[in-house]
Amino acid sequence: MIKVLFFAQLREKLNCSQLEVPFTKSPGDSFTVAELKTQLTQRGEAWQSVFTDKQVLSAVNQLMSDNETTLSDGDEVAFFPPVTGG
Amino acid sequence: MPTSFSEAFTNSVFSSEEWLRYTRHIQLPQFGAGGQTRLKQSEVLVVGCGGLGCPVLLYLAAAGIGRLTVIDGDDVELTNLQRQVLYTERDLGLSKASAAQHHLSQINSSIEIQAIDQAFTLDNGEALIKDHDLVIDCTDNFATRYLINDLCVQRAKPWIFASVYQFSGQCALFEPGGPCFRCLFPRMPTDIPDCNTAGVIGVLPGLVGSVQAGEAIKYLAGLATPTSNSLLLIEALDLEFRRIQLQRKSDCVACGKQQSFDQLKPDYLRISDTALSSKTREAMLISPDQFNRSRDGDQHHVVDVRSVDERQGFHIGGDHIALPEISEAILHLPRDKTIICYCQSGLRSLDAAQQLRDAGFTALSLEGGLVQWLQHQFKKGLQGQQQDAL
Ligand SMILES: [Zn+2]
Repeated sequence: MIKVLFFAQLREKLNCSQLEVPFTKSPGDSFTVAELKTQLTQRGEAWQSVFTDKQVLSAVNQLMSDNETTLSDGDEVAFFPPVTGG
Repeated sequence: MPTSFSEAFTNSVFSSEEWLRYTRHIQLPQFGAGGQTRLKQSEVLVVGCGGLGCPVLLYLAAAGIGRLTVIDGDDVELTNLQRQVLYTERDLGLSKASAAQHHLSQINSSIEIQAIDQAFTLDNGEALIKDHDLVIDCTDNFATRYLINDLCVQRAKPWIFASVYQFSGQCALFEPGGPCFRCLFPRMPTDIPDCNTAGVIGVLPGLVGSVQAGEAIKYLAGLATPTSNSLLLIEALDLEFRRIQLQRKSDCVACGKQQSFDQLKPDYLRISDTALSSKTREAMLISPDQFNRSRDGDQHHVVDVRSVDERQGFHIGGDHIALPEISEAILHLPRDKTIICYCQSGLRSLDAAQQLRDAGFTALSLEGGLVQWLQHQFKKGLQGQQQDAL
């Protein structure tokens, strides 16, 4: 399982604060943040727009990550946008 | 203050009054007289004294930071009082920095507080940052944050970023040599709503600003600061916190390989983060003043596009057609009149006016929504006549 967390505007846009997705990869292959995003975009229109937005950042196990970061079973992935108010 | 008494003791860092005032800090084992001495010797620049700046300044002044400088170019408005707890109704219309200085000096007269009633810009920013030990970002826009970041990277100064939106907040302490703000957010965000258009729960800047003040005080006193090189994500609705460790980017335009400061300058010119200023949109706007002159004539038809709750809460007349229903209502709207849409802050009405234009209507949107209209009315001293106008 991969635990996926959403923060700030993403919670409102997706109407979801966290979910779990099965850890799926063929032996020898890698499962990256980019692939997780692609998988999430299939959940609907709002998901499509959130996960194609380059401003949305990600962290794997509380460490900043990018699209190429590879995931392991049990990882926690957090997605968050910049927050600008004050 | 008992000055004659304190003068009896010389060669002390603190006066007798200060020593008594900071008792609870001095008695903290992790803090002690050493920590309090470091606070007294510290010089802190607070950029912006709005929602975040108010709690930050209150706590820094109370904690005994030796010298505080606060810079803000705005005046106190009625909509500020919902969360900007440093101000009172008597401050309305006064400049924020000066009003803040006035209140803070009453909280702690033994510290030095300087107010600058100007926006923080490229022109005044460099000298200010050079002149302080720590910068606290209490602004409401990314352009100013990029400017603070780039100047702090250049001058090797630490700074503490924080921001809020609706129920969410972020906070990070950037130290010289560590990852910088542009390593975290390389691109200037666009289309991200700010508190003026999206709202913010009043206590949120209090919560996030207190985190920011706490990190500042611990940093200056020499204690550990968990937000160093980390981004704290705060969710006030679910009371959830996550701390993300940041990483320096070798290709960062501010702290990475050789980068000319001049190339970064265009970013500071973007005053607003919202993409609301294109010419076609401007042509659709009607100012509160024009609105007042047009609304009663038979050439115009006013439509309130807010939700039922908002309509029942307060309105200034006209038809009520909530934004989601606007396309169905098109059949019933008069085609021979100019439709003027209004909402709370001017975003939904712009959307509605655009939809109406697409359907062949002449349509306008009340600029800045009800909020700006009400501020306009208050400024004109027309509160009492509002009911008559309806
Ligand atoms: Zn950087």
